[in-house]
Amino acid sequence: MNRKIVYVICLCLFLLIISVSTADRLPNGTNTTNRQIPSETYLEVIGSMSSHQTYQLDTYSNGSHDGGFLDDGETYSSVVYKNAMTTNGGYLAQSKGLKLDEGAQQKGGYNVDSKIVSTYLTDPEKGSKMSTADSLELFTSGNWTNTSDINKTIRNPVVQGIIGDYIGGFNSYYKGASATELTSGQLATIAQTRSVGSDTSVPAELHYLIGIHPDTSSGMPYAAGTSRTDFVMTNEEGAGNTTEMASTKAMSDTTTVDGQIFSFGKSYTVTSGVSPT
Amino acid sequence: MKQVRIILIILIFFILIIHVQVMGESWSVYPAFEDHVHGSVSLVNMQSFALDSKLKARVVGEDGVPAGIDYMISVTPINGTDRAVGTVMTDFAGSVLEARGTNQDPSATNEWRDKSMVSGSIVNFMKTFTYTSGIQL
Repeated sequence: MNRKIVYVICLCLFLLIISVSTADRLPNGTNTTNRQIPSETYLEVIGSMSSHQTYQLDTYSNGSHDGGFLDDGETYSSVVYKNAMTTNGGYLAQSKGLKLDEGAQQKGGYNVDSKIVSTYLTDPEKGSKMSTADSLELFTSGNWTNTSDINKTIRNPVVQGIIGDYIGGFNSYYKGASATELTSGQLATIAQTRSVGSDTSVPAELHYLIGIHPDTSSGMPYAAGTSRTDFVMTNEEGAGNTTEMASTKAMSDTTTVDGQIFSFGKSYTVTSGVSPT
Repeated sequence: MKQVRIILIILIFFILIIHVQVMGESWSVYPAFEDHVHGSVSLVNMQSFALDSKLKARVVGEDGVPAGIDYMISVTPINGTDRAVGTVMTDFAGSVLEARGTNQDPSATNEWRDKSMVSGSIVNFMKTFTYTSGIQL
């Protein structure tokens, strides 16, 4: 009887020690990435205006590298957002919101979230115009990793397949951009991207949308000007724990409109993530 | 004899638990970081206008309280006029370096800048800028 009690106590102690040790092996609290930087702009002006916004976020799953290959299981992502706008006269009304959040995101969350709506009408005496360029780029890269380490090392996986016990390495590049000149009309752009995920089920994502419409308050049935959009995606990835290339993709979409624009809209979304089975 | 054995096992258990707890503490480090945040506003040749600006900054806090800056500027016409006249310039910028754990290589870098200038007859110009930052262990 006493021997049984000793066995039971030993078994309980063993289970307790195992559970405590396991909890301690979870990813530790190295989350300094908690900066949130929202900004908003509302303006209505007759005259000139210029604005310039840039943001770059580089995130490493471990520490930065001066060069060379990532270590096993390491990942890296880089986001670059740029927006510039100028007018040399005329009427401009604008609403601009830019949310920058470097923290780990769930599905539906974004590290960069930009929404801009501008309404412009030229000054006919000056022949003024509004010029704007907007671009959002996302680059992700990772070395192959053992899936048993996935929760410890991968923050932003961008591969589709798991072969054996390994996830292949990858390099991916996404871009959504537009450049527009208007003498009259309303321009709306949305640029969103997610480069840091809270866990492996959260995919990388880039979303870009542009819309040009007439400014109904001006009485003109069309917007006047020119606009160009550039959407790009490239990806190369390996399979398993080899360094050989297993799959490459490239996509490019460029559109230009010029003249009297009654309606122009384009949307581009790219997502990619690991789906453990 | 059996009672002595049980006592020994319990003692070993506590020693192991204490060891694990100490190890747990040693992992809860505050990672290295370095932040710079900058903001400026200039008014040039303003003739008639109403200016409203608010600045809040939290730079000293207890554990868990994030650093924060909250800035707002608004330029509008004065009562009885349609427009403010002049030039307003704003410039917000910042940079961040941060690491994970005890690693001294940066694991995240941020750089941002927001510059704007409006000139002429200003019906409304408002800009807000918020920055919060806090470690989550």
